[in-house]
Amino acid sequence: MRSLREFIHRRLEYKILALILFILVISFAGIFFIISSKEKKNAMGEERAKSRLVADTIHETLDRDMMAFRADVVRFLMEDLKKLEDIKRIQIVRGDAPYVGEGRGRDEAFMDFKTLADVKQRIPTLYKPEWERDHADRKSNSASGTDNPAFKDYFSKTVQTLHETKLGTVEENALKRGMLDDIYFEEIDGVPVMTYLRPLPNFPKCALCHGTGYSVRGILMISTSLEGAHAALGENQRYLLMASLATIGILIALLRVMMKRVVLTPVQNVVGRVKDIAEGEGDLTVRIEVNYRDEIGDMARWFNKFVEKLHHIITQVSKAAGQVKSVSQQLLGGTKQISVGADVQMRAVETTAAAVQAVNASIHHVAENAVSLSSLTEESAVAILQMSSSIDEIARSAAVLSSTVEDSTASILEMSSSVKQIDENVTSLNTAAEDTAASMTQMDASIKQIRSNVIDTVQLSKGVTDDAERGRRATELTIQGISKIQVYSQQVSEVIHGLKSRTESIGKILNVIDEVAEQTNLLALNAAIIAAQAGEHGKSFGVVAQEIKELADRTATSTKEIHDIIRALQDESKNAVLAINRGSKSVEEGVHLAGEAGSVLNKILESSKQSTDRIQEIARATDEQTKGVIRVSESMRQVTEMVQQIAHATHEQFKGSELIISSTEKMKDIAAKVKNATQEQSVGNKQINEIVERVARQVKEIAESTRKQTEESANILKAVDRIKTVVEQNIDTIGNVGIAVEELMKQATQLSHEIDKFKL
Amino acid sequence: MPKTESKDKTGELQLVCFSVDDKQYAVDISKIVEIIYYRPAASLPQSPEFIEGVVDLRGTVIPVLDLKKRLRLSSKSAGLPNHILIVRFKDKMVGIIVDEVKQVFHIEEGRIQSPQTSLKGSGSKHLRGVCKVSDQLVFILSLDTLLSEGEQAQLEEI
Repeated sequence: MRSLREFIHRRLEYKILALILFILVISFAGIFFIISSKEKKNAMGEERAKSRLVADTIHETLDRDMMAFRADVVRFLMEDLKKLEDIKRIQIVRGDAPYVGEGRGRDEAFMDFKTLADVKQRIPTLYKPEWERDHADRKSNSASGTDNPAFKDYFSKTVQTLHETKLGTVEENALKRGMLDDIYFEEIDGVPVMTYLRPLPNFPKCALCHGTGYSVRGILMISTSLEGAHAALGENQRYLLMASLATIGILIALLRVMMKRVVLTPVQNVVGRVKDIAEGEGDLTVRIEVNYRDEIGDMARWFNKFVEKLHHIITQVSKAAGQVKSVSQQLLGGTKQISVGADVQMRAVETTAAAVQAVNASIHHVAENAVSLSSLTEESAVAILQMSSSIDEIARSAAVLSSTVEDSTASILEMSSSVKQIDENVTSLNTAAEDTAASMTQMDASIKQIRSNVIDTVQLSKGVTDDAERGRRATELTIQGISKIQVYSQQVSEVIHGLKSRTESIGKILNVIDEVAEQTNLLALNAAIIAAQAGEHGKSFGVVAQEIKELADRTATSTKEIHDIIRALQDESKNAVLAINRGSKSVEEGVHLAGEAGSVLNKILESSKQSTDRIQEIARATDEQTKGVIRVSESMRQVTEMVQQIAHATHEQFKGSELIISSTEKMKDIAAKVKNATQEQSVGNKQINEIVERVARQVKEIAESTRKQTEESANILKAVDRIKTVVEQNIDTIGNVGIAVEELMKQATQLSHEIDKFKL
Repeated sequence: MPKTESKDKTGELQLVCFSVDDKQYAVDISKIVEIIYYRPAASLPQSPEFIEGVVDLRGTVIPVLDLKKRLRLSSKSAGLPNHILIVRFKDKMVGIIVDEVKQVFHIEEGRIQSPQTSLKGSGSKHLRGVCKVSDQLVFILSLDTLLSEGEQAQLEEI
């Protein structure tokens, strides 16, 4: 196993193939499993369908023939079906009919006379002797396969289910469609079978012959052989396996060929070239041909690049090796010369050391004398220096004082001028503040004026509001009054109309009277004529006629007067009607106008209310303004006071600063005098000091130089010693260097030789 | 019926006063048969020009003439005629359209003034006299001369 893995890992080809083979095998195994299980399921389904078909046939026959009192037909059908080869077992196991006794769920139907006896006892008149023809009569009747726990379980469950179900036509049909059917697998005489079960319930229609009080008449049991199905399944599986293996084999072969072309050959090509370069003479000019654009091509390209780089480096190294060689030769020559020089040096150093030791002894002597002189000079110098420095201190202090005085004078002058300026500014500020205060007072006065105006306005606008309100009420009253007038004038108009018609009636009556009077008049005239013609006899008649005429005339006159009066009355009433109509129109206009006046007054009321509000706001604002002005005035007053105080203070300051200036002027003079005096002293001191210092310096210098000389000579001695040891070491080292250089030369030669091996 | 004027013993004349065109006229009462209300006259074909037409008075056809036209009075005031005087003219009855019959009055003959010569003109032949009643001038007409001879003849033919 390990050797196989080693083998596979050694070649890329085998690796890839093994991987693909693994994937293929797993895939095919999966497919094989899925197809096999599916086929098995299908085969079992078919078997079940077959059994169901047979069961349906038996069920149908039972249904029809039992109803026709032909129990023997069903028995014969069962016996015929038992002869079929594929059906290993077909039987009806008796149900839970009470007369079967112990045989419930165990006895095979049609195999003894238990049922027939029951039917005979139940309906002796309908019992048919041909039912007994060729009827089997087992002494111990026990159907095969009823001991199977699966069957027992099914039997008890079905009895229970059907006991709880009330059977009708719907249930019967459902049962026929296999509602309570079931299957299980077992073996009969070593042959695998599928056992199909269907309940035959005790329907109400069976009760005439078979009685009631139980649920299942029997269980139809059909066991079909699965040998054929299994054989077919095995065949299919074998076929599938073969096909899978063949497919895998072909795929692998195909893949190998393709892979060789696509991957392995290019890789091998590149590997061969690289191997050539590695195993050969190290020919760095050789390049791999790049025929591929894939990763292998990339690899070859980058390898070429690498070789190029290597070539370049090796060339550089070769050149460097040559240079190393020449340099080493020169180095060898130099080393030899150094060696000779070192010997000469050695000798010179030894001579120098001896001379230096002699010098050293003499210097020691001089040094001791110088040291004692130096200490003496130093003491006097120190005393002078102390004095000088104190004088300097005084001078510096005086100068500082002077400059300080000057500075302060300048500052005071500046301050004075500033104070003056401040004074001026303060004066102008004071004036400005006073002006402001005056303005504020004026403003205050005007604000107060505004306020009183505003208050007046508030009162006025309140008055306007009240007037408008009164006006509105008056308008309302007016409208009411006018409306009443309208009503009254209408009534008057109606009355006048009535009057007119009455007068017209009077006129008509008068016309009649008039007419009568006229006729009377005419009659009187005619009577007078007749009387006149009658002569003396008619005279009295004539008088009567004349009187009648006069009466008639008077009547006519009266009626005429009445007429005139009535006419005048009618004219008047017409005028009155016209006047009333005009009045009515005016009243309508009045109502309209009053309404408009009312709305206008309402608007006025609204606006005056708004303006009152506004004015009140203004009044409030003005109040606040007044308060602000008072505050500002107060502040301004305080400012003025403060400014006046400042003015006073600055004035005093001004006076003070003038005094200070005169004092500082005096001080300045004194300081200048002090300064001059100290400066003169200082100059004298400095001269003494310088002289002493010069002496001390010279002494010091001498002492220092001798000390240094001593140290130097000691150092020289030490140095000479060190040189000596170094030179000795040098000589040794130079010897070693010579050996190393020789070695280096050897190495350089070797390197050159090696590099020469590359073809560059 | 007496044929003479209606004079009594005292020499008083009884007259019927009527108005035409706001002027007062009078005729002797004895000539008058009746006073009737004005009614429009039915015009008669081929009748004389002075005949206005005929009216029916209780079955008698009576020719009527317009006094206003006859007297050639201007009709300034369009006062409608109110009455018709039915008068006896010889043996015929004739209707005279007047504005209005006012009254019957008595007057002494002596108070009637004869028409002045200055008044005598073409129309003065109809005038018999003038009298004053209640401060008003009343022209007394003579019915006999109201129509000319020819006219009277023409009237006869109707």
